[in-house]
Amino acid sequence: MNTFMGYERTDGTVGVRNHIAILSNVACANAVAQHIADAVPGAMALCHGHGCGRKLERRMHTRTLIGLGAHPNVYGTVLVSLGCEGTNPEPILTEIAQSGRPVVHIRIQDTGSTAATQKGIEAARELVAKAAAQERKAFPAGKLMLGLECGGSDALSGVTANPAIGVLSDWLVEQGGTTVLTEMTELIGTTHILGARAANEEVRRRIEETVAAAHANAVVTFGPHASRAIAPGNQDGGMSTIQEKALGCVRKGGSSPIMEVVDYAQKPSASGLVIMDGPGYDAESLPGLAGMGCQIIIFSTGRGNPLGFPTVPVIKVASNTPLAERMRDDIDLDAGKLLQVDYNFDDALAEYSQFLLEVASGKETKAELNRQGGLVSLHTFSRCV
Amino acid sequence: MSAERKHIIIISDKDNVAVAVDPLPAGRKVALPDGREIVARGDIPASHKIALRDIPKGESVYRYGDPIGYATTDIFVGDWVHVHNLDAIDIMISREGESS
Repeated sequence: MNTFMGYERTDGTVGVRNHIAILSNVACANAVAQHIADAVPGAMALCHGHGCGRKLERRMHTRTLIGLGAHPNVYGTVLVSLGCEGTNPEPILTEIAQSGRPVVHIRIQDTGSTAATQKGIEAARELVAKAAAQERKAFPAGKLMLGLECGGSDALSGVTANPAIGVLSDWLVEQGGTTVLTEMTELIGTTHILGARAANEEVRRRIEETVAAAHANAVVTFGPHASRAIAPGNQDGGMSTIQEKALGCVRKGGSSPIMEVVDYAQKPSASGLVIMDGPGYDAESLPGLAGMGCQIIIFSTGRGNPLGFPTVPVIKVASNTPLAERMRDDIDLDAGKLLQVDYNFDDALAEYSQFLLEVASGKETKAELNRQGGLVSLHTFSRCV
Repeated sequence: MSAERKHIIIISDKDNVAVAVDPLPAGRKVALPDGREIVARGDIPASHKIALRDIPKGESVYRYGDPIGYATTDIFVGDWVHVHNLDAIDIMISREGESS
């Protein structure tokens, strides 16, 4: 039965968790937000390094904060602002309220940080009590939006973990769900291949545009040979061409048609496989996936990466069994088993789809058990002032 | 669960190469899912590619069901396939200099 037990939200989304978000509007408000969250079980701090000083990212960062506050996994939000920051809290409060979620605003400059913390704790406690009345109900797997990430890849990532995730991605799309491929630097060299899978001409054009921009950015950052992104280490590991390396990453998205290309932290209008225009850097990629509404993220790794996200469960898939054993406290699934004669892709699909539905229904991933949430690393691309 | 390892991994039916799980020495016989048996024509390092079919010069090399490049010389079934006989279609690849 392809269902999970989730929290119904008034905006039609379904949460796999029931968090109270303590959302910092600006870095200067981080400490107060963290103190509030630390004092209230059930509250999760979402702190980041921005909210002021960077004008170019203002719209993207505001959209991300809205997405984190109005997230399926979040019952209600306490937004902590300073009072003079560049990011205006009003549209964030309005959008979260419009999603049907309770939202409380605490402005530090009104009262000072001590009183702000106390007010925030009281507000968070009240929200946690209200959230506790929510109960999980059965929903089809198609209500899930699954982010697809790879980090710390090794020679086997494209052989085991990523193809296994691709099989899961195709399965979820068949159920009516949404999966999200991102990390545009990993798509360089595959434009014509992905373009052929685009649902329509507009999607094809957007794929070309966003990959070209990622390529241009790589050249600016790394110099004219950036396009030859296969390092000697990659070649020793078996990669012969940039297309092969990129296809190994793209494989996480399976073979489904690509329905839409969205901006960082932008909610898709289509279901199915979509692409989010975002960086290859995992710490900045995850907030984009969370901000667009992914309830769960699945993350392949060959060298081992414990990174999680405060309000979104991150499932870790090891490309090789030695890693799964060495970092067993951080790894959920071992794709290295695919190297064994008695375990194939249909076995991986059965295991991963069941695990996905269990996580959706409340089972904690290793990253959640280890409280690997950490700082929300909002994507940046401009110089600071 | 047995710990015996596969010889190769094939991702898609369209693929004309497969990846060696462990090093395949020249002469090693490899059973394919379609019932054929092929023989490694050279030493294939772990995680490197072995040709599942003959790939004439200029033809596409398929992995993940998509072309990853073309054969720069005639490739025979069982050959090690890598930068010495496979090149990228995309002219973005620059062959001189080091990358990061």
